[in-house]
Amino acid sequence: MKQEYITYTPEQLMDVDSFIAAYLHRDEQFLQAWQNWEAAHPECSPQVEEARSLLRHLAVHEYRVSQQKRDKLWSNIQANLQTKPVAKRRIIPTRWYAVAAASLFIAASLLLWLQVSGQSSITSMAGTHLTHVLPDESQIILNAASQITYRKKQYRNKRDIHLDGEAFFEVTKGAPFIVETDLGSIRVWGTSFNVFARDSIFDVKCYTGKVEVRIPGEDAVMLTPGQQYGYVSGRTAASHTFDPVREEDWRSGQIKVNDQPLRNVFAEIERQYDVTIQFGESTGAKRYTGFYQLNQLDSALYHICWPMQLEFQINGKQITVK
Amino acid sequence: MNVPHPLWLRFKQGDSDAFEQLYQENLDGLLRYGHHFTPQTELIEDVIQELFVDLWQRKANLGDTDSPRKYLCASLRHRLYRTLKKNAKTASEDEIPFDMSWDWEDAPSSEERYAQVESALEQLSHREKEAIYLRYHQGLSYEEIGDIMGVQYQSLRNQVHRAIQKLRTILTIVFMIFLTGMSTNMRPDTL
Repeated sequence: MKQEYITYTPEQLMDVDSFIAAYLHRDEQFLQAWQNWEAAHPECSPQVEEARSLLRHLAVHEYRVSQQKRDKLWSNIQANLQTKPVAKRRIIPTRWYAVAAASLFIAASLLLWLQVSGQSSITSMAGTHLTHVLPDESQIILNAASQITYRKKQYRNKRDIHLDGEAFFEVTKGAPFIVETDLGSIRVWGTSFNVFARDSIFDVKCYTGKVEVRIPGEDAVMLTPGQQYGYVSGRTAASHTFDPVREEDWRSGQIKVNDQPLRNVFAEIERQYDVTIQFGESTGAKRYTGFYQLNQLDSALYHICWPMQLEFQINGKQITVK
Repeated sequence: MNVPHPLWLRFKQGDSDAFEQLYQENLDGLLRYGHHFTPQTELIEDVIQELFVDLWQRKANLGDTDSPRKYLCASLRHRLYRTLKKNAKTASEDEIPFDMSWDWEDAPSSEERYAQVESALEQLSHREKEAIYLRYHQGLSYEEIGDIMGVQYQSLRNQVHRAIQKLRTILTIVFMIFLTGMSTNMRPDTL
């Protein structure tokens, strides 16, 4: 038990994890601990009582989950996983050949399945950009740590691409070209545009031609060159303008950041340089506006950290920001 | 992002035990969270199954997270929103209600007081309720809740603070009314 609890207001008390566990969820261990604490600090009783009363009013009815349900859902999930997990708990050395044969079989069937379905998947690793040319000469430049998937066989009739991450598209004229992401989809005919779809952020920039953007639950929006449209999960979508000719972007090695929390900026650095950055909660919430070059890691970090009055330390692939 | 969670890293490397552990540790919380958005149990179960299947199949391409639970809650929320919006055709996200059926077994006693507190709590917006729920019932930190709901840490803290403050004021007032009510009722008897 922390000493400073004696100075806490009822609201602060009711926000302490162990207090919530004790008085809202009736956790015996914490309940005992808090009762002992209250007995030792009788002067704090009024605050504790008010905090308790406030908490009691936050109790809600919760859905009850049965063991049967847990088992049922888990077996459904297992049945739905097309490829069985390769790694088993323990591999007995004398039976290595059985394991090898099994892995080979799985690999072969996966290959067969890919051939039949004609599914093509292209992934750029962290720290790399990758250009992919589609059967119709349309071009996709993948930013670091991004993936596209499409069906090669059907591509001529149905230009349908699934994207996870960020990519720039240069699309030749022809049948509708559709980019699907988990956060929204884009439909175009012949144009160039950039899509960012990671975690909870979806953002589309139109460079040439026309781009139709669909966000689930919203009316489709038509973008013309210089228009940008997107949203962050939990907020409403908004449109902006940018200069499609003059504005540099990640393809030319310039990353421009407009009022973003530092945690997003650092996540981008992690993808671009394949490193891990450690920083505190409050640092991650600070907002950054500026730009940096994608050449040297230390120079990029310097451009971000210096205006924010932060210091960084590079230790191989580990970076600490303070 | 802070240090990636070790269980998450094991899962991403294809450790099926780690995957099962992720499921076992989080399923109850996810099912309960889902039921505040919709009473349709089957729909929630479908979405959760799909979530775990996708998770395993796309594990190699997933980002790192310091809190698997935050990741899973955010993912469930997003998927539920998408499904519910498709079904309801509501225009903005604020219209997806977050239902709290309050359960005060040992809180306010009289019918009247119950109604007053309930109407007070119903003044909270759906998103305020959701933030309160995630903090007090799922035990998540403000930082995690901010990420799940796509809200800035500070504005989220203020939001919850305001909501609790509202509740506190209302409870004080209700309690005062209750006390004065009691004393006026009692006067004839005592005289």
